[in-house]
Amino acid sequence: MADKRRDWTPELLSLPALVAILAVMGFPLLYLCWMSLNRWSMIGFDPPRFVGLQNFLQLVEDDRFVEALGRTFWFTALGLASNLPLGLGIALLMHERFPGRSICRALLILPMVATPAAMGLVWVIMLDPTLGIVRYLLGGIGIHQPPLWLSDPGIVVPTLVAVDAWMWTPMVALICLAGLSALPTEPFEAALVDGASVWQRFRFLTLPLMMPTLMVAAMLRVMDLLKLIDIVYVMTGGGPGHASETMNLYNYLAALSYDKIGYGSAIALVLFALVMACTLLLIRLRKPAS
Amino acid sequence: MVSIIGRRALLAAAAVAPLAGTAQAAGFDWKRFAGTQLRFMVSVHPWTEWAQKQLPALEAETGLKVNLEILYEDQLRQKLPLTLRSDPGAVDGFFTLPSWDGAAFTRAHWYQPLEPMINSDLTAPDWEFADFFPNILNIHRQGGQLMGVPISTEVQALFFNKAMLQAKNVAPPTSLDALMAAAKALNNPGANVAGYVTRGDGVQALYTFAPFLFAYGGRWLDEKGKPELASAPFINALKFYSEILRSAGPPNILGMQWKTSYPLFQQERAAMFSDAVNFLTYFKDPSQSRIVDKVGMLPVPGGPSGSHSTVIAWGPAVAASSKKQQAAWYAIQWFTSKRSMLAAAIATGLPSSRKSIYTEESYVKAAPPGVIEIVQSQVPNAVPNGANPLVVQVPETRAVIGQAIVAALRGDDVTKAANEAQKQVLAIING
Amino acid sequence: MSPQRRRRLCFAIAGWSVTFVLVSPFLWMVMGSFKTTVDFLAYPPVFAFVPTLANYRQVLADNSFLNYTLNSTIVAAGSTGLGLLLGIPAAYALARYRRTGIGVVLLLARMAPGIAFLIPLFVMFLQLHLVGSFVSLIASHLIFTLPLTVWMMVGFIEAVPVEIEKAALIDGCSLIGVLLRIVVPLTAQGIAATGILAFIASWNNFLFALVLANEGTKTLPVAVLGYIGYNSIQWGTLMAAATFITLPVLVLAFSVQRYIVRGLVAGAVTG
Repeated sequence: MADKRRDWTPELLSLPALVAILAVMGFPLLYLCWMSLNRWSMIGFDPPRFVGLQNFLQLVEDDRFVEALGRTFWFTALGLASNLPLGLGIALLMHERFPGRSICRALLILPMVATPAAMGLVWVIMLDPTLGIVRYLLGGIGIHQPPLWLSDPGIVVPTLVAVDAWMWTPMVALICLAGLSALPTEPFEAALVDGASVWQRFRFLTLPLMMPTLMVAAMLRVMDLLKLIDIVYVMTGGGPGHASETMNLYNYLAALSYDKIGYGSAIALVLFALVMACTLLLIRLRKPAS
Repeated sequence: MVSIIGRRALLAAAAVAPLAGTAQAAGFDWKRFAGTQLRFMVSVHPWTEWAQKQLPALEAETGLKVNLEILYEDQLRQKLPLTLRSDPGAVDGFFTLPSWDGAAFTRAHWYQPLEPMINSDLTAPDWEFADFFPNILNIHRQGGQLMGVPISTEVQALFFNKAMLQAKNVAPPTSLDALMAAAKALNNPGANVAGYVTRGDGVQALYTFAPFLFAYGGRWLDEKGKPELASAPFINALKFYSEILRSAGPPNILGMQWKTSYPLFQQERAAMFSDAVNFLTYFKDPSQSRIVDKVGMLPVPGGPSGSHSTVIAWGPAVAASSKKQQAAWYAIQWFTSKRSMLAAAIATGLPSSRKSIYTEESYVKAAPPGVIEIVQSQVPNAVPNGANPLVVQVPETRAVIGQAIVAALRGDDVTKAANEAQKQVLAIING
Repeated sequence: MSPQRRRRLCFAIAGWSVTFVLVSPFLWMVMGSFKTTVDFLAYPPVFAFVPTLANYRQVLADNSFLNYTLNSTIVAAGSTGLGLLLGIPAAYALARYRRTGIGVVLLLARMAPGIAFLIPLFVMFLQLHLVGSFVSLIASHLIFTLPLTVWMMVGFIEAVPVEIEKAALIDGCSLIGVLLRIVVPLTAQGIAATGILAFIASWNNFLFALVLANEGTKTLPVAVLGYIGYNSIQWGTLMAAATFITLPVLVLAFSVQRYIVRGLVAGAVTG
């Protein structure tokens, strides 16, 4: 029956989901596009004023935006460079058999379920150079002049990446753990017979076989790192100065605090496009040209 | 903190209970709008926390059913404009801080002027308008019209740790020079103690920087509303702020927000601290403070042009788009009556905006020691709404001036930073 | 000691150390919830202290906190349930018919910066007279629960042998019947794992509730932010509230922890 005509079953099955997403997202997205073409203040009842692409042209000249754009990439790069190796490392460790392994695995979920806003504040106090436990612990191992984690403009981004990594590396680890347990065993047995070293087995078997899994983890992380805002907002508010301001934070401030809704919408659309481009790129990379 | 307020509120309620029903009944029809439902959007504040507990009493005496939607400050600043603009009539009253939203809300015509209602039979004779400090009322005056009722008087103070000052034989500083000398003498990084701490985060620091600006004779805007940030007083004040905090502040002064500054003083890691006077409550609470018996308080130090604190005040306002304005005014009136404000002052510890409260024995007894003196000595010289330039675009302007403060604290060229701020604020104002 | 045992001991030490490092900030918070503010902010840090229940008493004495818990439960359960209801058929279509395009469209929702949608969503729900309703919160949370559900369920469904379904179809079972009688029962564990992750995501999300909720529908994460007061942070109460709201999801997560990993396997390998 399905030979002659196109089979619409998959479309019908996904229709409810697509309609739901469209219902919630469709109008807001169109509205966002429209807002980005206007100059508009929420204060008062002045109608939006159409300005064409002016908001987008203004972005190029806005140093604060350009810096936030570059910084967002810096956040994302540092985030990936820390999350993926650490996550894979933790997964390899948790993949081994040792007493209490399942408890350890279960505990990995903790940083993910903790309320980010509250945890951000706890981190602020833990990292405080005067009252913080981190200063105390570092002092214990002989470091008496620790970096000014959140107030040194050169260090604040890596610090925030570290806090973000604390929250989300466990998720990367769980994904990798899942990938590891699905790996075929035969190649590893063969490699053992051939006398391959631990490093060789990792480099030539585990890593290539784990690539698709790592790509999934990378994709999930990229989507969130590019949109990073909550811990930055809670911990530094983008400061000192604008030293830790991400695109999403600037978008929030422009639209909801500075009352430049059109301009904020333009930032949001650029950010959206950026996330889309990076995610689709990673999806491409995952499917090697076969 | 909640426990303190909670306990105080209970005490206050107990003290006030016998008065209920008699004091406010005489000849005025409090039940005129009985049954009306009202929606107020307010922010997290000791006063709103107190007000929420009074809703049953309000309903019993006036028949008004008030839904108090308590949002945290940033959330109020997003949701309130969104609601006032796109859903007129949905909100009958709201909490406003004129130094922040006064100019914007006035331009938007979101405030309903109160005086016509105050001077009519809608207001109980014993509400006594004249009892408010005139210059505190001015905080809520826009273009000559009263738009809200101030619920407190928020001045700043210089807090000091008596024991630390005594140990180093330093007298409590009342002038800028003395403050600088004291801060440097008390600074002891080796012992993990800063001489002086206040806000260093750009957007927030305008508030604590303002008294220094005024001490040097500066101001945010001139009479025509043009910024005066490239002026000598502004540059001198910024140089002072930068020097004292760079030489005697905590290591992380750059980016220091109130949430990390007051704990340093509270935990004996800073000898002096300046900010709003209401921080005293948290220094006097033994469950959170190590300096309960050591905290001393002075007016903000004076400079060439004297000592000038900022004075700000949150307060409820009636929404111009409300269809129940008179009922909303009834609720505000009930909450700001002498009796209510006395109970609120006792429960929250916040200095009142009504003169008569300061002579009430129950308040004088309950007020944290020193607060009354600090308020009374500073209010005459304080700059109403001086926390930042009174422009329509307060948040963006604060961000720009904050950048100049951050640059100064980083050790950059102060004059250059001030000129840049002047240029950018001008651009914002001219839109 | 045999080399085998020594090896396991080494891994145990390494594994437990890593876990401890990861869990310690959380423990510090839980510890803080039993401390007074003086003890929490003390330097040098205090590890031995007289625990106080005052913080929890304060959080729970406030009746509204239990209301917020109920609200959060309604929103999280609603958006998770709806996500599964709509997501499973879509995941089936993706798994069996390989329509990646649909997957990408659904993924777009996951990529959008949520903050940008606050104003448009508010305006939209206002027109529908739904601001402040559970409907608006559940619908907005679908933006992330639905892609998550589809994403994870694809893997689980692919693991179900096609032959069973084919046989059922030949026996005259409808497609809906196949979904209900074969796919759903066979992927029950996966559905549980997916559901928990969606539930956690919804439980912790505070963005949409910021403007869409009102006093009657306020959710827990927004309420927790309320402990950052006017010029004060009530550290002990904040920690207690944060610990308290983590507990339900923690229990749920631990109970299906094994399946979560399995679910991620499926998602990671095939999705």
